[in-house]
Amino acid sequence: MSEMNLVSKGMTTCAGCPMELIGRAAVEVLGKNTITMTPPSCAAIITGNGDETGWGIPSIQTVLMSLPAFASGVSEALRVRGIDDVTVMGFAGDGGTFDIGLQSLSGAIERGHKALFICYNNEAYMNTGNQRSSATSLGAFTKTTPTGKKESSKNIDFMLLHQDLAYQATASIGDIQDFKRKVKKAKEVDGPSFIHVHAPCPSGWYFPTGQTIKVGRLAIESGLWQLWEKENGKIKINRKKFDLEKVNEYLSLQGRYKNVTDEVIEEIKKEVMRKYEVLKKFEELDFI
Amino acid sequence: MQKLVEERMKKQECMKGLKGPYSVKIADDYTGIWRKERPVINHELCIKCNICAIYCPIGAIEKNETMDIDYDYCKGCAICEEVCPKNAIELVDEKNFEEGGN
Amino acid sequence: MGDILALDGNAAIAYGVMKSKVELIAAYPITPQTPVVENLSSLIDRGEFDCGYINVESEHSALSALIGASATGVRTFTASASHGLALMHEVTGVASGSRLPIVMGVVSRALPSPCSLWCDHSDIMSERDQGWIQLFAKNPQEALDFIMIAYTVSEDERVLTPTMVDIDGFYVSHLTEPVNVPTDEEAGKFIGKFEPNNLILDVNNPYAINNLSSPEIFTEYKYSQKLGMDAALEVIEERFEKFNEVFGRKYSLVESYNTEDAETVIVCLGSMSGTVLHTVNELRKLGKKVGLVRVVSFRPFPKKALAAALKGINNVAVIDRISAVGSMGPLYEEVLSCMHQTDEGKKNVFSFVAGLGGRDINEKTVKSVFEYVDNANETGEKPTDTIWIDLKKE
Repeated sequence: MSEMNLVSKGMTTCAGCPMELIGRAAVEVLGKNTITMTPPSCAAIITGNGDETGWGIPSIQTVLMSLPAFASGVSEALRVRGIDDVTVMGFAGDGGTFDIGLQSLSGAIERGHKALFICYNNEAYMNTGNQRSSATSLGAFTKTTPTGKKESSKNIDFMLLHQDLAYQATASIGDIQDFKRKVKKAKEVDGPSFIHVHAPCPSGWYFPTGQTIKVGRLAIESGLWQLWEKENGKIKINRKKFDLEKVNEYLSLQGRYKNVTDEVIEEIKKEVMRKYEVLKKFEELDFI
Repeated sequence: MQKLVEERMKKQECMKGLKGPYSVKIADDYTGIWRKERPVINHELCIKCNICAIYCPIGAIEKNETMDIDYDYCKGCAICEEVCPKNAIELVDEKNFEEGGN
Repeated sequence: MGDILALDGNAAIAYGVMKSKVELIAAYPITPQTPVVENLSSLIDRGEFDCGYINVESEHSALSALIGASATGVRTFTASASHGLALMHEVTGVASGSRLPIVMGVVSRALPSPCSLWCDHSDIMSERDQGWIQLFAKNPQEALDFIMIAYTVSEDERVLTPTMVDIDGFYVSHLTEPVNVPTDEEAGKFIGKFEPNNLILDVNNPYAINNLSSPEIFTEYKYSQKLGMDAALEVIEERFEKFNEVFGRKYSLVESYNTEDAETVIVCLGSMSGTVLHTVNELRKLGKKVGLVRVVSFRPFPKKALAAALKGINNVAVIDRISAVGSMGPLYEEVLSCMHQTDEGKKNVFSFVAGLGGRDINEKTVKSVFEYVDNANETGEKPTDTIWIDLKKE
């Protein structure tokens, strides 16, 4: 007999939604002693509307710009009240993490509040209908980059490497068990953690709903999405083997890359190798 | 009724009467009506590895005596069919399950 | 009997916060409010004040953090001014709509442009429809007292509305006066420890706070807010009464001075009332029948109290410390609407604009206001525009 789900089964998220899977998996690991928060975003669908909510744990809807500030307040208030067995979980998308939420995230991490910030990265402002964010990949179609994004995605993980995170990791819905393992680690540290989860979105990336996990796996297997974690200043790459040629398959599955040129594909592959080389160098360091 | 809804209904009374925008009720849309096709598990081929349950975005699959899909909520996204390592899941047109159907 | 300390408005606010047993502060510095956060940090560091302090990275984050904290069941405080308050604007409505009893000190400073460091009411007036109670203190003593009163009003279950306590930037914030600071024992008779009595993030009683609301239910939430704000009028008076019992200082929603037989009265907010009072005294010596009405609570607007204060007075000169471009001053509009509704409509009500960007409202300015009204009465002129009484003449 399985445990009571702490997230409702009946919500109006898209069929095959990776964000929902991530939220559900996180709460399964963190348990009922968790307070969560979502900004206006796809995740807000779980927080619900009207007099209903999908969360079985307490939640609060924040504003897009300052979810980490809300989390700072909740975390400090729990400390003031002497409550030390509750996890504060921020659940924001790439918009609320890379773009409008960046200041607040950086501030919350710098101050060292005990909170877990999960970013589900579907590479666009999906809830408003697929407009580009700085997390959108090079060459991808969005409604505001109709001929393909001209810039590479912002490397938030490398940016945050230089802040004092108690635990930092990348994860993907392509390997949900690895994500759960990382959530468990984050739960145990006394300080801010950040887990950046790749969330291929069938609605916005234009692929059949059943392919969500497959697309996520291909991103990992092609090296495009690296899985790694940083604890006590030391980086560990979780998967060293990848096949760059799988980038082609990854791109071909998604309608948002329908018109991508060979040059852009080459650039994408070059980027994968560049990032990996830097990551490997970081891994060699004793402390970062 | 899903267990979460049941549990919450027990608590609802004592959370009444507060001022401001808050939601106690659990969202419980029967999203099963979205389906055009339904995943059907072949229990002979199924090895109960649980991978379908782990990857179901809505948590509709449960490991009991057999792997059971909650068709009240299953949206027919077909992730379970794609991830099953034994190809034990097949998508069948929903029409076959309507009243009077096969 | 408390201790008499030489405090400026900012320090008085800090002491008020300390005596109110606030549990968590999140604030960002901005002129002229910086001494508030510095004083608070100092009191906490010296061990005199046991309180959490979040050094946020912006004002928007300050109020956001407090919304999270207040919803987790602690008493909270922040302070800001001008740009900082404007930056908080996205979330001031979230605080009031979520019925959280947050108290904010506003050290009024002009909003840009032009960029200014000095006092006017453009910052707090921009928040007037955000659903917060707004009390205007005229001196450091009131600043301290109103902070304490604000918590007891905001947390009252009939109200559940956050409060802004406003002081004029530099004129009050940096003005040192002897301030009676309550002892902890005295303060304890007026305000106790925070007992959360409304929405709270609690793992034992989980629910979602502040999620998306459809047109079917939005209006009812807002109406409930209105009821809270309406109740505040009564609750503020109750708390003023109780405050007087404990500390011997009596406040009221509206304060009148020399209005019994006045023909012209100035209505205003904040510290300019001190100069008006002094000028009224001077003019009274010359036989002029003038008076002063100071509005203490701008939100909720005390219509009955104001109508009573202005009863029988023919000329009402309202001074707004905000440019009010495109229409009339906000205080003027409130007064006018109040007159209209309480059937006191047959008065000459004038909308004056003065003191923008920190320009001192001095005795000369106040006298010009009274003179203007006298002239208007003689010529029968009824101005339909704002009168910029301290505009320099080329």
